[in-house]
Amino acid sequence: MASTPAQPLLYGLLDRPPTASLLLLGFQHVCLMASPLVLPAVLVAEIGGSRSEAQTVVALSMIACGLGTILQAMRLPGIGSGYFVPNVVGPNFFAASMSAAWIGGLPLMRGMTIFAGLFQVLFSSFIHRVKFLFPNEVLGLVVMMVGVGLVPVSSSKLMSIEFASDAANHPAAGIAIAVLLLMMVLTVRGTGFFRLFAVLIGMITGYVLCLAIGMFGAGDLDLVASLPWIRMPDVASLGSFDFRADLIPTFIIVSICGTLKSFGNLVLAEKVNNPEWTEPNMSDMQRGLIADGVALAGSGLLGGMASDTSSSNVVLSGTSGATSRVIAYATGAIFILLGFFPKVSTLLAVMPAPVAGAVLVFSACYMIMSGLQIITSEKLDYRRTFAIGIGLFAGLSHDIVPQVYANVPSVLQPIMGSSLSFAVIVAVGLNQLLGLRLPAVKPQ
Amino acid sequence: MSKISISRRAITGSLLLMPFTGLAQASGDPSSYDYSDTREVVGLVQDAAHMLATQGTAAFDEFAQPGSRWRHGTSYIYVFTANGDCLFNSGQPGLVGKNLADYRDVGGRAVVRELMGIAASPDPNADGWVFFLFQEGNVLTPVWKIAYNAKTTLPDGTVVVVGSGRSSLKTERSFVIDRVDEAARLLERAGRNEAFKAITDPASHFNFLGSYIFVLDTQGHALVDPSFPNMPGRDLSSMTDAIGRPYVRELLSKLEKGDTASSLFFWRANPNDVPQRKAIYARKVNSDGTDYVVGTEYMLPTPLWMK
Repeated sequence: MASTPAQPLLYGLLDRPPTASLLLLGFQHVCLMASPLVLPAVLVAEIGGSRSEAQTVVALSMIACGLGTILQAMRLPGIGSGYFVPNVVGPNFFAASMSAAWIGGLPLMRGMTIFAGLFQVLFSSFIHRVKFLFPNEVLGLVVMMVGVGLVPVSSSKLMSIEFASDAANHPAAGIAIAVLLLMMVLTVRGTGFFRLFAVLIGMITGYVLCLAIGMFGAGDLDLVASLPWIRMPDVASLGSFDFRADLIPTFIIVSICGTLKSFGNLVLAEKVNNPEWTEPNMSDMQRGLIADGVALAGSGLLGGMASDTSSSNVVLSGTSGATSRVIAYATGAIFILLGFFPKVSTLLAVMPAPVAGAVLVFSACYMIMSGLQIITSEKLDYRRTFAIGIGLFAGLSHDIVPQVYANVPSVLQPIMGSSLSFAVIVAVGLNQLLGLRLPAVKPQ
Repeated sequence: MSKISISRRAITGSLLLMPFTGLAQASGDPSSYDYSDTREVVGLVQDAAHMLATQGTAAFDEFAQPGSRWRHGTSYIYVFTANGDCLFNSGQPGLVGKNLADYRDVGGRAVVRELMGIAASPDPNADGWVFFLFQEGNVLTPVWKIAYNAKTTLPDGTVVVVGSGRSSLKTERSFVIDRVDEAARLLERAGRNEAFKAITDPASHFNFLGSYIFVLDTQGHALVDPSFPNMPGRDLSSMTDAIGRPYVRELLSKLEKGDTASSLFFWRANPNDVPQRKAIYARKVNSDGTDYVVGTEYMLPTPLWMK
């Protein structure tokens, strides 16, 4: 039985916050959603694209994510979970998108992104039929592993260490820890305004401190200053669509990983919204995953980079106590609007590492503990202990010693696309295997 | 994430200095480097040079303090005179007082001569990078060490070179650009025979940090190919990377439109390894009426969060 949230919601799913709070809450979420926008810019730069192309891909990614956020919050027939689970540029799609872009430029990246989205829609269409595969303890593992998946990037940003052997940056790490502490204190002890905007207050504090020590300096501000205030994305410059059969396995793997991650995010969103949560509503989950798949395909169609649901934003809506669907609409609309304002979106995207690190650690901890809470809400008999325990072991080993899986047969590689997929597939398999009804062994 | 762009510095500046010293040109501005550990070493040596200029050899006491900024782990400061005398070396104190002008690393590189080249520069603030193979600690196999060095003058008028190196530094784009451009200048000025001989010399500074300088014709046939000397004339234009990208052909195509080009590609040592990111940089040069492509490839570090 899942326990209730630590604090009651200030604005529940069907509430409508006052306009000023609504806009500020939306802006708070947009600040979080903006930080991965450096990924499409980096991608275009790495394939030798122009700055104009990079701006176009960033803008179209924002528009696609904004539309996806709104679609997810709606409850249309067959699509949309009705929860506030925003879409962001998906870091787990980055390597696959980069491969496609290197081989066939942006047209191939777009084509393969559409394929991944359609595959996710297809995969999600069957999920209600396999509900038996996902008992609560497995869902808890999914949520937990989504948080574990954030550990590498969040630690790297928290300590401002980008590459192995980078010099220690003690002031930056100090700022990151201070921002993290501030967000935690405001969330735990704050009420009203301070709880609602704990993350935004922490981020603004972090920006100011980074400005003071030169971590957010002239280079960033020069870049922002060089951009126009308003710019219409030049979709025609991106070319059309392309497709390659040999990239299908790669995109199926990342699509499955993305689906599982979104599954975890949707479970958490549902749990945050329902103090009496005992198990997921698979119909809502299915509609949510289909919405995510459509948003992913839509990103490719529009010309943006592949999108994914944002764990950080789901956590933020839970810790701030503001999960209202209306905030999702406002957030999506602001994100779409900012797609036409490169100066503002870039200012948000060049988030200093200590700020990004603090936010990501904040989110990762919440995801991990929420997952643990769901896992332990069930009685941990031997079957659950070993099914979940071995799954967790497999997932952690994938991240800690990835080298040991370097030579697995290619047929097994899809299940090892990420620590999340590896952990979940092992746990699901073991849970079924250990649950088989076998004839009792009779004593001789 | 490292972006391949050669717009920042270098190309024009590289045409001016140190024709044969073998020194990678340096920027004394730490912010001009891509990686924070490089910036830290440059800042450290610049500060040490400033201390020597103001305090003279009295600064040695501070440089020698274990656990200090100047000496921790395998990082330490050394100081040489313009004629190769070792004035200070907190990592290897036994070298102090010796003249090491003829010291060569295990690959035959005249390392201290390169430092003397910095001291001999007319620029009072000359600086430079030196790459050499070094026997570090109790490791049997020599490792590449990257050292930044700066010229300064003690209060008594003695010209010295102060430096510090690390074996853990990553290959900066500027290191690669400087070496390739230097090889291109040599080919342009000295002609094919002399340049090819210098580039293929394993003790030359064109063999650096695990990378080699190659020379191709404009169709992609290898003319200088130190990594496969037994395959002269092989056609590299059809080479593809780990994901099937014809990166050499792309490079040649870019060089049809400009004098320099760079490209990224995936590489894996073994079929089952995770592909790693590498970069290739090349410059087109004309020597005695023939066009050549001079370049090198190098490993790009992967951000921790991408592993």
